[in-house]
Amino acid sequence: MTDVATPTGVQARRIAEFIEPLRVEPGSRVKLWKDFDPRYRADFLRKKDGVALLRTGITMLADYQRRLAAQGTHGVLLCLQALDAGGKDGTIRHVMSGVNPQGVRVSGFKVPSAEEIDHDYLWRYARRLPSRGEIGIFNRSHYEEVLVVRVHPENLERQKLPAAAKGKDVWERRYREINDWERYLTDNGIVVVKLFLNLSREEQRTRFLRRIDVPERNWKFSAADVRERRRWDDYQRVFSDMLSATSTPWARGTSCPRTGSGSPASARRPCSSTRWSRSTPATRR
Amino acid sequence: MLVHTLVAIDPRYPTVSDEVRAGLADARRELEREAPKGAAADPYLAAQNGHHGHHAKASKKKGKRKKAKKEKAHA
Repeated sequence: MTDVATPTGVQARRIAEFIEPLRVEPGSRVKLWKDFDPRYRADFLRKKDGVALLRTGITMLADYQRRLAAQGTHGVLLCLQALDAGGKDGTIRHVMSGVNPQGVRVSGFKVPSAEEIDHDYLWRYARRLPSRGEIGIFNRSHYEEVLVVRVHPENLERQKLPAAAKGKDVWERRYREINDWERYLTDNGIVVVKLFLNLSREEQRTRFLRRIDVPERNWKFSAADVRERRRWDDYQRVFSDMLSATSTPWARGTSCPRTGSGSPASARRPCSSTRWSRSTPATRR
Repeated sequence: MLVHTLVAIDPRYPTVSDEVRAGLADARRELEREAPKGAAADPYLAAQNGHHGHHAKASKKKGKRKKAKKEKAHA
């Protein structure tokens, strides 16, 4: 099954129309900086429409979660990827506001533990997959293995891989392995929804400054955030490669624009509860 | 009960040491230097100030409206 559900009803159709341009066409070659504008908002979307659409989404989510649990044949895995301050936590709060917490499992992935490093790189993600009837949310996901590990190859060294597994084709191989794994999950009833939260460099700057300016937010900021920001172009490149290589017919990627209130183009975030897609279609820039 | 327990635990945000504060100041300077042409050095603070300004303006207007209403009623 490629998509979550066949949309029925006017509201479901509206949601489907809204997210369609945000999804990454399998086989397409994505260049984030060119193809997807983080400030994008759908043409039809006014602020009040956005709020209404979000409410509709949350109501439908609650209903469909009950159905998912009742049917007990499928699980849903939501993978959230973003740069620092991209809004993963806020997205999870939105999703959680509409669901029964008993049926949702949120897992965050930070630096791998010694035990995790002693296993294959997908092991720690596989252990936290949702069961049938459940929604699993990955706050960062197995895509870290082709993003941050690629930007910082020293992490690859720490993974104790045999020499043959660290060759020049390591990233191509990982894309293939991830696609195969997602195919396996999908074939077995675990639907993979992948949401890339795409924020602009300026929006990230604003959010970092907010974390510095507001004392209660200081703990969320680290000097390492600024160091990572210096690698902005590298991250844009690896995100682009990842979106190009891993948006598949069975698990399409989605890029979600993350324009915040501090930005001059202060559009509302039109899809704070969408899935791993790209941010904006090229034609809408 | 849960709230009561949390209140009893009384969790606090971590205190920022002088060293960390200096690190934050360095980061702020670096981020402010990156402001694109025409953008505020700190867009968050600028928005906050603008926001407060808007409120002040609104409350001033409200005060004026009240005063006019009072005067009308008095007349």
